[in-house]
Amino acid sequence: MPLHLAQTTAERRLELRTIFLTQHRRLFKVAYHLTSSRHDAEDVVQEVFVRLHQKLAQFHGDSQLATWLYRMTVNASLDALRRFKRRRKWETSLTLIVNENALPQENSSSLAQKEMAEKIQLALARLRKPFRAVIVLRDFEGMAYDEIAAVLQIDKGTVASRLHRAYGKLRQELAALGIDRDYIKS
Amino acid sequence: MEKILAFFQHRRLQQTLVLYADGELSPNAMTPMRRHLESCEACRQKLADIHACRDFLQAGKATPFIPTEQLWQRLTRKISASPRFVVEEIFSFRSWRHWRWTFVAAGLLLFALTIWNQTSRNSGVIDYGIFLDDMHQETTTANFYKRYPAQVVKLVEARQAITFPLAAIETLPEAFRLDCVRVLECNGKKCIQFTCVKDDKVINIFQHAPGQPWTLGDYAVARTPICNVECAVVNMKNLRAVNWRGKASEYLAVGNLAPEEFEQVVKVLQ
Repeated sequence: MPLHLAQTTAERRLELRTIFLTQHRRLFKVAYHLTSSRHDAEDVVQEVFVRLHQKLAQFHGDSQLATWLYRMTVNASLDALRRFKRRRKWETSLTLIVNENALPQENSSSLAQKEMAEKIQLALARLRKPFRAVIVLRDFEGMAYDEIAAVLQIDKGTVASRLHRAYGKLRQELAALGIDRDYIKS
Repeated sequence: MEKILAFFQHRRLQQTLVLYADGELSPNAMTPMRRHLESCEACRQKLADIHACRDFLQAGKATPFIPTEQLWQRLTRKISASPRFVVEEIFSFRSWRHWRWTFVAAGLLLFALTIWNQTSRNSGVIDYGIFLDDMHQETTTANFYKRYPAQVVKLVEARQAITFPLAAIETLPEAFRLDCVRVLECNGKKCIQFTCVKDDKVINIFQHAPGQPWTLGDYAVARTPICNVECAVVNMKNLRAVNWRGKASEYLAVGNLAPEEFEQVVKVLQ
């Protein structure tokens, strides 16, 4: 049934459940990589789906919905980061958060990979938010430039230039963490 | 000069290195980029950095554990718990879109009803008589009656329609005591007509609009007593109208009356 025809509360709940099951993993990962916190990522996903529940009838196509969901997730994650920054100092507590997120990893069981994941989160966390967002969407989600442009509501050229600058900054942050090109290759 | 141009070209191409790495560069831009990379060590270095970053991101990409059911339970609790969602659902964008034309139609209907009500109150229903000028035109009983249906109206309503100078009338000398009062209306304009009797001569005084000077008028009148209140049957060019003022009566009858209507008026007054 098309989204906009969902009538009753029960039907809307069912529709929401279907969308949740198909989208929540990707959204959770985006939120997680942006906030570096599992707890915040859960909050973000919940907030996004609560908003979706209110606006379910406005969507008439899956692509429009997916773009909207990603946009809401990115915005809510960045908001969460701002709130977090107000609560306590980001840099000093980040290591603790990464440790706190020592979660069961689906594909990364080795200690080395876990260490790399932590370092990535640390390096990403030190990037400015717009740079972090483009890297997460491009490299973790594998989105095309057009899709990223639609989610972030910027043009394709801006996506490219942000990515260019983001990689430059990320390279610097990785170097600061003692990771050079040889380390990466090894 | 060439060095400056080369520098700017280097900067421009460096900005598009990401696109080159992703294969998003247009075919026309591909060849100059390859040529530039062959000769530019800095750009080669930059490209290698991009690839290295990407490799690192891919290699160490963490896939966090996602508590699907736990998340869903939290979400449903949140949605169900808050009563504002019910209100928001009722007044949601979709509801508004769904009902908007109904609201518009209801608004238009209300507006039309208001206008119709105003119009019907201002014309037709309350018609106090005719304007004198109308009498001099080619008016027959038939079309006169159609245009100006005779009726009995309450004096209070007449007062509401036009400022009714009854107090001033009472101050007139006995000889000019009011014989009858008509509130006349023609084409939306109202005027007041008093019929007075002096030396057995009927005098008609008109005020064509509130505040304007009173003017004298004249037409043939045959006064005939028809009931126990002071009345006058006015005959003008085969038209019949009855006007009267009774001290105990608050009714003002005007216009051209059909015989049955005439009887009805008399009955009311008696």
